[in-house]
Amino acid sequence: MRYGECDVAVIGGGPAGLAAATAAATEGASVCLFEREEKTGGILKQCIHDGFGLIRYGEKLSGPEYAYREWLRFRESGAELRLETFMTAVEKEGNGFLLTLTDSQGILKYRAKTLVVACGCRERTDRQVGIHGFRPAGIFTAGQAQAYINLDGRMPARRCLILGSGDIGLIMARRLTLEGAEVVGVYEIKHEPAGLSRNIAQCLTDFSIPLHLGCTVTEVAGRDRVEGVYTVRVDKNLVPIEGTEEFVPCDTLILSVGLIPENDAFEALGWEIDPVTSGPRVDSCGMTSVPGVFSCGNSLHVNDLVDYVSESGETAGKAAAARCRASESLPGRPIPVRAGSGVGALVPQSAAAEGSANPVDFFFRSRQTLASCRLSVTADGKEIFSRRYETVRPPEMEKVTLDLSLLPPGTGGLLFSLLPDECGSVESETAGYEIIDETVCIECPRGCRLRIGRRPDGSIAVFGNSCPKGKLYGERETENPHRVLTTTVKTVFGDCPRLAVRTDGPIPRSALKDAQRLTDAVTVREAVLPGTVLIQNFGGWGVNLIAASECHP
Amino acid sequence: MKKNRIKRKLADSGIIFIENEFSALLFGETENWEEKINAGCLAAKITAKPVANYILCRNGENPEAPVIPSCSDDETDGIEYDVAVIGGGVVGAAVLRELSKWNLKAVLLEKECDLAFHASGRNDGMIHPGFAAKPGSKKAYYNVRGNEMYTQLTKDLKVPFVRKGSMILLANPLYRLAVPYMLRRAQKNGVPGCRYLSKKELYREEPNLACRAAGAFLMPTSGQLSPQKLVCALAENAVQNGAAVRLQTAAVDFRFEKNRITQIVTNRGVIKVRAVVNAAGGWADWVAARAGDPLFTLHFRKGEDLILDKKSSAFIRRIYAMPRLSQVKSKSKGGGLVPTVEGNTLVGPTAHEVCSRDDYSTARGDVLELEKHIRLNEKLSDRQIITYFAGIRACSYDEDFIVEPSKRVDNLFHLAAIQSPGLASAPALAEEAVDWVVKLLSREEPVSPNPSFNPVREDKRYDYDLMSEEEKDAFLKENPLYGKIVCRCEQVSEGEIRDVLRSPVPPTTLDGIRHRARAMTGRCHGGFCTPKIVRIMIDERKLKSADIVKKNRFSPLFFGETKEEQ
Repeated sequence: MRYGECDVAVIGGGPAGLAAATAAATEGASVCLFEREEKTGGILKQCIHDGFGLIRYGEKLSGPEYAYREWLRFRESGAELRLETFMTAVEKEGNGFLLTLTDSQGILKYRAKTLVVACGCRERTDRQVGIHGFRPAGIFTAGQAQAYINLDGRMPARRCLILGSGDIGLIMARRLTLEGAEVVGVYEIKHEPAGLSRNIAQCLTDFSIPLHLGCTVTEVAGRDRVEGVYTVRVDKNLVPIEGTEEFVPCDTLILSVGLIPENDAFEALGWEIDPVTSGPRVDSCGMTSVPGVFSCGNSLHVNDLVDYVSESGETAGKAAAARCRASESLPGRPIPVRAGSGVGALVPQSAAAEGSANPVDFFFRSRQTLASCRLSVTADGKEIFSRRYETVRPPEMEKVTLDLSLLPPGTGGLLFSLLPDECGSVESETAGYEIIDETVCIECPRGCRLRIGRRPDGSIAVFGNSCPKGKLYGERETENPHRVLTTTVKTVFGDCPRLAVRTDGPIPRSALKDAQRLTDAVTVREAVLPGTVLIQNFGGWGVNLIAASECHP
Repeated sequence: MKKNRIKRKLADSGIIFIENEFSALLFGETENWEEKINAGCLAAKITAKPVANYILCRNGENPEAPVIPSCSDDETDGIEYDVAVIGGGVVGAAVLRELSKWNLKAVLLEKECDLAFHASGRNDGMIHPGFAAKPGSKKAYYNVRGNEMYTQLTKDLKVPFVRKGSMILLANPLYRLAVPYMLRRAQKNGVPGCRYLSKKELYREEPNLACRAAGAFLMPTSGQLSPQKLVCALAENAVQNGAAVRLQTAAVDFRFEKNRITQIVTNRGVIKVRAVVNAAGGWADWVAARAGDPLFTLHFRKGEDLILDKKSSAFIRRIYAMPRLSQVKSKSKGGGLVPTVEGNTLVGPTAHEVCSRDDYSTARGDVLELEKHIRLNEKLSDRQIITYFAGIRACSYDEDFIVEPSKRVDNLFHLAAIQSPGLASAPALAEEAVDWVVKLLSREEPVSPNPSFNPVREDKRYDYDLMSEEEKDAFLKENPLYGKIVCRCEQVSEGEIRDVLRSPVPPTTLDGIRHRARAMTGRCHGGFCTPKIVRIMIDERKLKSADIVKKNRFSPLFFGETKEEQ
């Protein structure tokens, strides 16, 4: 049996774990990162679409590229990495923790002063949303379909219906379409989409895939392979409306019906779970109710953006390292943080008091879509912060940063509420313009709702943007919309039969399918790294086709 | 008196009741399925013979024949066997293993592409104590005997098995009056160790009980195991001891010489046989009729179960249910909570008559019906439901097993209508049938025991789970692939998947892997591990994407590969 020891043990080598380990090691702690798969990067490895890293790197990267950058940072940090190592048990031992792990050489016992849990999340399945019928082949979660298509190059669908408008579902609608499948529609039980607005725009609207809101799947037909599904419309309480049942023939049902933070292996430690986020309750350092155990990323709460996942990893890693340095100086009494009216998920659930990380980032989601409202944060009844929002939507996580050092000592609690706000209407701005188009800016995750106006003299103006990029986007969108193509190409390597690729700049939206056909004919025969140019001036569109992932014999 | 009344009642509804030497026959026509079944049940009350119900139901499915596998070749053509067992469920597999103890050439014919495809793979894995069956019935006899045999059998086959004990919760202090009666019944059936648990004892054992029970009746011999694993293990051990398993091979016709079956016609050729055991489950009546003995017909009762997350194991120790008084006389016990050997808790089953023999679809209403059982335990909730499934019990009209040699055909033995507690009874039923087969064949020439019979089936995962950490460490050094975890929820390794794929009755489907190794059955339900298992399967068998199927060749996972003309 092998034994090891470290200050900080990080469980999970996705973006949260990589950032946590890097941060902790940079702080001088001895760190070991345990990853059960053969490579770090977590689920990013299969997320070949772009849009990652706008905040952290100021670029729109694909998932594998982002993971690669995080890995490069991690490699420099000096933290130890154990791949294909699976934690089977964790227990408290003295002031620290004892991990039992399994790998192909035997059992490994690791003592750590602190733990950072970064195990990501899992997808809810068809049975967990009450779909009945037989159990035929052809029912996949969106993530599973994504792994088949993007990593292994297997085609799980010809004609499919997607249930749930979560982001992965939307992304997969586009992927499946590009790879030649027909997506008959995306069905969403709620009356508004569950994914980011920019994904609705660039994954559904771009490909004319219908989105059915207030509509769900009740039953699957087919004994051996899916032959179709029964859909039904629901009322505003999400109860099926009789007489609206419809049979939709298809061979595949893909589900994007919610993510659940994966913390099951750690429940034995006895931490408190927040029923709203399904993750542990943490303070502003990411520490759970069990001292010395930290949580971050999607195992803490489901994030929309990987940039925030990395940030939370850094916070937790840094704090875990600090705790090892000075484990005797326990932080002062934490200030409880509560969600008031209109606020759903809210993390962290408490703010460590003096001497800890400051300012503090808070993440929240609204309970429902609210137009023109403001976030009000009060400390013991006194408002300490307020911010206006044009709209807040449950699918879109909002972040606010508060400086808590100014709070009077002994503050009893913080309350976050969303209140109606009578702000000026945007109508006046557009006076004199004819609104000719409405669209969602896809330049960044904020997803500003743009309105394109035209004056009688023909001049164009963009409204609703929050930055100059939005203006440019709006203008180009009216004249000639452009998109980045993200897809895969074949390789000759058995271990990675498909390589993620993308164009290094946008190409005309109308050319996406032609561009996809061009990539279908490409086979990579040599080792490449993310960023390697595969084809210069791809298709004559003035952009290069670059590798977004690595592959080697 | 009663007999005449029932006869009149049948006649009034236009049903013709005729008894011949072997069976009671029903003819006529009914409007709906329920009436047909009711007529069968009434008939069973006035005859000691098996009921063969040939009533035509105007609004129901009257299935004529099973789906015969579409593969057609001559793989089995001309092979001579001493004994053929028809049906690859738990009964068939147990019979095959029992036969492999003898110097007999035995074969199991299964029409599906894997074992335990129907009822044997679709139940709650409970090894009943033998209390519920009517004293004096075949069910009671074989159940109690079979239950006893499981201790040694599961040890030999290396199938995880645990006797958790089951309890009937007494809803009301008045029910305590029934306890002496229950004890007497247990004694009559030979169920050992039953006793009354006071309210205090009960809540000490099960502190999370949410209901107000006045006490409980405890049956400590109740056990639990994975039924799919058991069936595969039985068949594997039989194969290791020289028996044969032929999948996708259906017995479609029989050829006779005088009163003996001499040949079985299958979709893969004609085999020669000296004795036949009918263990064909849901189609046992059809097989009996094809084999020249239309002794009985079956009716079908569907049951659904919910599966709760493994976390539930912390909150429940024993199997329990709180039957309502109205259920005491009903044909099924109404369901309850069944903590499994793997740590999940099953909730169910339901029971309702259906006309299909293999309609395993689930319906919302039936699943909702089960949620009442979850509320028996305050720590369990519907949020812990991972999935649900349905199974179908094939029943005779008197609800007892049919365990007897055919009176029309000299070398045919029926093991039919083996509904609950069939799993528990299977080893004892197999003994009975094989005893008869050996006696029958000994008349022609002496049958000697198989000198090289080895009752033990190897299973590395079973051994691993029993090892100390030091032993595990040493084991992994020898078996490094067992340290590569593929299925995170059930902690199934690549080594285990590969061993399952190389087992004596190797699976050809993902469901086959699921049944044997439990991969893809956990809380993510295959979300993370299925792509990995597909990779392993493709590598191990040198397959293409399009060859990967879920349950049979009509359920492919993929339409080929991306970037390929499809």
